[in-house]
Amino acid sequence: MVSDNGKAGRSLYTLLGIIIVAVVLAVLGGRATYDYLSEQQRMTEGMEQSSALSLASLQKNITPLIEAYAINDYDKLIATEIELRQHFAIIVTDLNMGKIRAEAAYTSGKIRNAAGNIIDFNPDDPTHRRQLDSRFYTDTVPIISSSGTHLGSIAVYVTDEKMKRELNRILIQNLINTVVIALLLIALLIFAIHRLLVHPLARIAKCIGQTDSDGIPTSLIPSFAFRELSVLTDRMNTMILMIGRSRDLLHQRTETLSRSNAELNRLGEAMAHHFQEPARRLTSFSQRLQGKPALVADEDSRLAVEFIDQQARRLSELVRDAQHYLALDHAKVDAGGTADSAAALRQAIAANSATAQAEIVLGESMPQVRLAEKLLSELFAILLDNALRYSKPERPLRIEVSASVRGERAVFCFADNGSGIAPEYRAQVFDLFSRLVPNSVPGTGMGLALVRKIVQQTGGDVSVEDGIDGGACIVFDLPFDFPLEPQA
Amino acid sequence: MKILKMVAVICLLMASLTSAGAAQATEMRLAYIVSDLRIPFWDIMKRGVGSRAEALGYSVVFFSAENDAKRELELATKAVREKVDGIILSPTNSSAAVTILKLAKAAGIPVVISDIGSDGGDYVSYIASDNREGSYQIGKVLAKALQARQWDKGSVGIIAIPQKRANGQARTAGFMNALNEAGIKGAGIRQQATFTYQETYDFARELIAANTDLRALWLQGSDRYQGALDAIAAAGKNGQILLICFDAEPEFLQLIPKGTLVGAAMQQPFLMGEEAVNTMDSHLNGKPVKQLQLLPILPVSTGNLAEMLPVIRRNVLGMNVK
Repeated sequence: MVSDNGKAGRSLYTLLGIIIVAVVLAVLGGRATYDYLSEQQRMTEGMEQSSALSLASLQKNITPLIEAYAINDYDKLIATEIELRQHFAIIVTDLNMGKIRAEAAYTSGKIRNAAGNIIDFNPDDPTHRRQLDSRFYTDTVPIISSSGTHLGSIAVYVTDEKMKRELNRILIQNLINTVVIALLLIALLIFAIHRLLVHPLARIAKCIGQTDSDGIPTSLIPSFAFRELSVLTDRMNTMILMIGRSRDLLHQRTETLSRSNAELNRLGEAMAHHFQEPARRLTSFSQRLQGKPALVADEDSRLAVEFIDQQARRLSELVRDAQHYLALDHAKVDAGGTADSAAALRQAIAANSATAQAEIVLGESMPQVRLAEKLLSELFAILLDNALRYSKPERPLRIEVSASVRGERAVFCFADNGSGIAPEYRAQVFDLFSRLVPNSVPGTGMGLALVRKIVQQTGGDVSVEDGIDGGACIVFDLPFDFPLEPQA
Repeated sequence: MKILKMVAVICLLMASLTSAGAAQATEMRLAYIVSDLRIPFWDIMKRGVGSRAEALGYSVVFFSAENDAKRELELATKAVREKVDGIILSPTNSSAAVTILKLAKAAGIPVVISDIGSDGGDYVSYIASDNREGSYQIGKVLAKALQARQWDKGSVGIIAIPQKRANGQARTAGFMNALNEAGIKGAGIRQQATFTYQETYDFARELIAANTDLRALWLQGSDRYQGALDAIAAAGKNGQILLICFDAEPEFLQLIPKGTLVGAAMQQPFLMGEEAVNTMDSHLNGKPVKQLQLLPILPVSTGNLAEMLPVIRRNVLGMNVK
């Protein structure tokens, strides 16, 4: 997340640094681990091979010495072999000598003491036994005479202490190498990234940060030596230029629109004054004529005057509604702060006496919305008027108004059991002067257009859905003011 | 004069051994493990051991390995099992001695080695002949005999015991030192392996055939002297090639005066056996002993035989001794 001033959020520089450190350490650490394990395996194999070579050599040379009861001679061979191969111990089990001593076997050999010196193995020494048991690797071969007699066995004991020392040395060496190389690589990479990426990006950010009052950079981004950055800056400069041109075009269109709006306002004012005045005069004069007995006696004349009066009133309503419609463009929809939707509805009900014929049901939770209460009351008044006007005479009118909150919007459903609106007409009923009934039915065709305009002024929308028993349901949404509180 | 001093030392040594005998009066037992009592040298040493042990009040068990390594180990094991108080050891070889010393050490039994020696291990003392000095002295006897005959421009051949043995090396080195001092050259060396009459005879014939100026043969042993004499005779060199030996046989007491042998460097096995027991006795009584004791070798020749005869008969040949 980056704030408006670009100072907060994670630093690309830091993130790249962390990635570089992690990658370098992982690669070098992996390599060091591989070297360590390889060396361990090599040394283990070496020890096993060395042990096998010793056993093969001793097996060949000791056999005649055991047969000749030359114990010291094979002890000397063992000492030489231990010294040569760096074994921990070599133990010979001599059955011939065992027979002489009336024992199962005579055990002798050489072992290394704590100082690493080669000493005689003492089978009765528990320390020697314990040391043998804890050796890293042991291998044993039997000693068989040329005639096939079992003469005993030779066991080689290998210690891993030297291997451990060597591996520790390698580990420390690898660790030092890893740290040194990692530090060098990290420093080099961070320097390179700073010079090649972060620094150019900072220059770009600084350049595009110098803007005019519309937030458009005042100058183009300078070019860089590297192709990738040049492509980026070229594209950004193209965008800056296009945004500038779009801004100019927008200004031109705004000015045109402003002029059109001004003219429209003047037209509205003209309608308010110049169109309403003739309508009122027509009404006034038609009422005078309706008072003339001679004219009333003549049926045709009377009908004509009544028609003139009727049309004059309709013209007046049309001018009033059109004026009101245009005035909405300048109205501040939330000028009155917030509105209690239930109160606004009740206000609209009270203002229309005809609603007494209808059963009006309010939802349990009617929300508070950010809309001038007068406008919300007017919106409900239009919907009530429509419901009353298009109710079915064969059944009492029922109106159900409910609301729910979806995110930041309060969604209202104004449903009735009137004649309803066929699906194919549901889109056009919100157009200006749109009427689905003959002109003989009162109305200007402006009601739902006004509803839509009020709703759209708040950023919402309105539509028609199925109502109660074939009636219609006007669904619209308004900005929600605060959470609903459950009613007791 | 030097020989007289040596005789005086030996007599003093014998006197001291005799005077110390009555001091020991316990029932302690010793074992003498010897390589092969069928060989006179070891038998004489055995008698020296027995004589001195009896004098000091020890009983001795004699174990002859008959030059068999297995038997030697069996006897050593037996001696250890019987928990003798001390072991006198004349091993079949210096390597076998190490194992016996190890067995004795494990049982806490002290060991004195008499001749041959050991490649290692712990022992109380090692009694040995001073081979180098004895060979040097007999070399001087031969040089003197050659010079007296004006044969000192001729060469001297050596029929040696194996030179990998320390005593073999010491004998050769001491002898050659004496020849070098006299300006007499060597004619080559043959090392014995089987120690048979035939081997000695063949080696002597080879040396005579290979060196026309050969004036003497030195045999680093005693029991096969007849092979060398026969080879000289067979080569038609009787009276032209001298023979000188190491160690002694009883018949040397006749051959040396007759001139058949110029002389012999005589070890003193009887004395060595006595000294081994004496050393063990000192150790068992808590007295300090030297770890290496070199006993003199007698350079016997025609000129001093009569003078040294009592010592030779007793210490070398073990004769007239109970």
